[in-house]
Amino acid sequence: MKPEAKSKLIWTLGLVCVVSVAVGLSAPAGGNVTIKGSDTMLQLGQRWAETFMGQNPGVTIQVTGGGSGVGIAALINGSTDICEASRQIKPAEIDKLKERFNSPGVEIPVARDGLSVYLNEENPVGELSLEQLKKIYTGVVTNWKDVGGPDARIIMYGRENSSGTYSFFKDNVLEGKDFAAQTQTLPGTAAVVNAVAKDKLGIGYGGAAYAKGVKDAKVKKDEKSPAFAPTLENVKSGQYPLSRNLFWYLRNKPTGDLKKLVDFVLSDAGQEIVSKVGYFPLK
Amino acid sequence: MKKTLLSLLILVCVASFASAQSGSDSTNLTPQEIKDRLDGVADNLTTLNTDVNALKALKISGYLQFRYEYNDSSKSTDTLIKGSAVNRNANNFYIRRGRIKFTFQPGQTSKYVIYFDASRNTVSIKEAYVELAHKFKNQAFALTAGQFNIPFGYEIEYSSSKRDFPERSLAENNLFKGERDRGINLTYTAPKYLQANIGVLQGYGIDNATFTWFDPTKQKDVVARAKAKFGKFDLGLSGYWGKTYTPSVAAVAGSSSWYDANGNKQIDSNEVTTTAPKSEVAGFERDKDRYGIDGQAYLDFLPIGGTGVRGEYFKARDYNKDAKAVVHEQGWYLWLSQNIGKKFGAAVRYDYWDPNTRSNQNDATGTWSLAAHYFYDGNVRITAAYDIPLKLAGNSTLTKYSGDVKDNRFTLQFQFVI
Repeated sequence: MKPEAKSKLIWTLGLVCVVSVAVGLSAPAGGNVTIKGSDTMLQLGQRWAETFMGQNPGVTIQVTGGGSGVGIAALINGSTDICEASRQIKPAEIDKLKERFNSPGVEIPVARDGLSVYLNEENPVGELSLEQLKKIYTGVVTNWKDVGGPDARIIMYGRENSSGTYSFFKDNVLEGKDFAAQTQTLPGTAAVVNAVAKDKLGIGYGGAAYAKGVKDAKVKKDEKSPAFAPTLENVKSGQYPLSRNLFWYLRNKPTGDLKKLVDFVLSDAGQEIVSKVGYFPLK
Repeated sequence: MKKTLLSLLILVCVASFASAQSGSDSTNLTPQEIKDRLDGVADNLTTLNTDVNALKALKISGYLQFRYEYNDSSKSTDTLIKGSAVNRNANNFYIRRGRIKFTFQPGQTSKYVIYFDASRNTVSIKEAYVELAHKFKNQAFALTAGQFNIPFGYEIEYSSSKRDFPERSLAENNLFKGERDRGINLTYTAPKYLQANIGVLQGYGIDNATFTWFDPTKQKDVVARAKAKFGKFDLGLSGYWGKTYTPSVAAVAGSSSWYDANGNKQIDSNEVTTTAPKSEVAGFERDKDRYGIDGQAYLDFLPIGGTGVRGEYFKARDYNKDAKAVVHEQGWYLWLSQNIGKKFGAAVRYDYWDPNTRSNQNDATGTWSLAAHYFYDGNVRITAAYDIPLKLAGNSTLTKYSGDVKDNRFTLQFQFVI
């Protein structure tokens, strides 16, 4: 290539970089914010968005579910600004963020939850240990009489594998083992609650905020431990064995409208919404 | 798609159930009969669920890289183009990588991977392995057996679909051509911070023209790596110990010839040329070792996006059969990458390679690479890159040698990732 041509090429590439910087800088950090991810957090995200948009008329926030895994994938491919997740991001997902965005991401705990075990209101069983739950969902125990209930088959309801609640339950209750094939997979916590509410022999799991028309089983760490219900007190103290954080993930430190939104969510007003929806505030 | 399929199947089941109901006199059904029929539907759903989960176990991924490449003066550093009579102008459209990977993972304990590459005019198997996984509390172990990425350094494991520059560094390309080998590798992952592995490999990679699938050395090579992750900073150490083989040379019989230079038809002593016989030279093995250290930092101080700084240093020892000597090699690169919003990115890299550190010849090279990206959507990335290879004077790392040739390269690449 001739020196003049080379020089032109370098200048062209330089120009592309400068234009890219300009466009990147001029791209609004806020204005139109997308939030995607956990179905468990969908109601919560929507309530935060409604309140924030009411206070900031220039900002439009779009909130969608799909599951924590879907939200994290969207964060990695750039199609959402904020990911809602009911589980922690995995190391492999952090690696993908680093590769695509030169950033390990920013993790912000936004609320607390007691992952609840739903039982039909007519079910006489009131408490279960983590070991019993593991045996039920891995298919080792299939009859309610083995855990203090009637002589009848246990019908398990669960979430899809893109769900953070699914992952949390699998990691913390099943200790990584696979769910039994008989577990009926449903596309959202509301669907799980609905199924258990109608099925006397049903059992399900999901966020505390969804437990309407079903009862929460008390959960104990092992056979010798006392059983705890997923109440504010027990979740905050950590005595409830399935206490967890709910998270927001961002690619970079928030700026502009994103920062204002994050500040709002962590403020007293934002945490009050957490309680109203049925989850537990951070403090 | 799978959800749609499942919904359709459920619909068919429910419709069948409804049809069966309407076909019989439903008023005569006892509650028990209705319950039995519902149980039947529930069983069918369980079967369908199992089938759909089996389909979910198969994952397909991959990417396509299509390029336009312009090389100054036909001095491409790409060995497939360099010196090729048909590509003398080195100004080409071509498929650099056309990859498709099938992963079948029926559960958490095992998976099977086969990974094909269709590039230029050939199709080859890049990877094919079985992985067995075991979790002990929050510690994870994985045993990989087959053909897979050599677990050495940072660049090999870093997918070409994510890398800013068209090609890996010179050191990596020279020391681990093809990036893959056959063998067994054990990986240990501690929660969050540490990953370590040790592997036993064939030693000749998958791109060796002579030793295509067999190992001419008696021993297997050993590779080990440890990587620590501290959130914004990652650090890795790698080592590789093996043997390289120089093939035997057959014996050559001695000979003598006579040329009657003075035409006296007599054999004069100065008219006879004698070649001494050469005895067979047996093939022999020599040590081959490589050491590497790599580090990455991810900084978040600019409002336009993340900044990545990556660097790696290689030191190696090989036997060069042409020079008939042990050679000491070294290479390193420093790579700065900047995201600009969600749609753009830019990067610069300096890449140094010295094939013989103890030689005073001008055999060291350095390459400046510049790249700019446009992320068209979540799947497509368009990259413009410019590589400026330099011959370096007196093995200094940054001084250009006055005899530098015109071999710069411009690449425009369209990439689609599944």
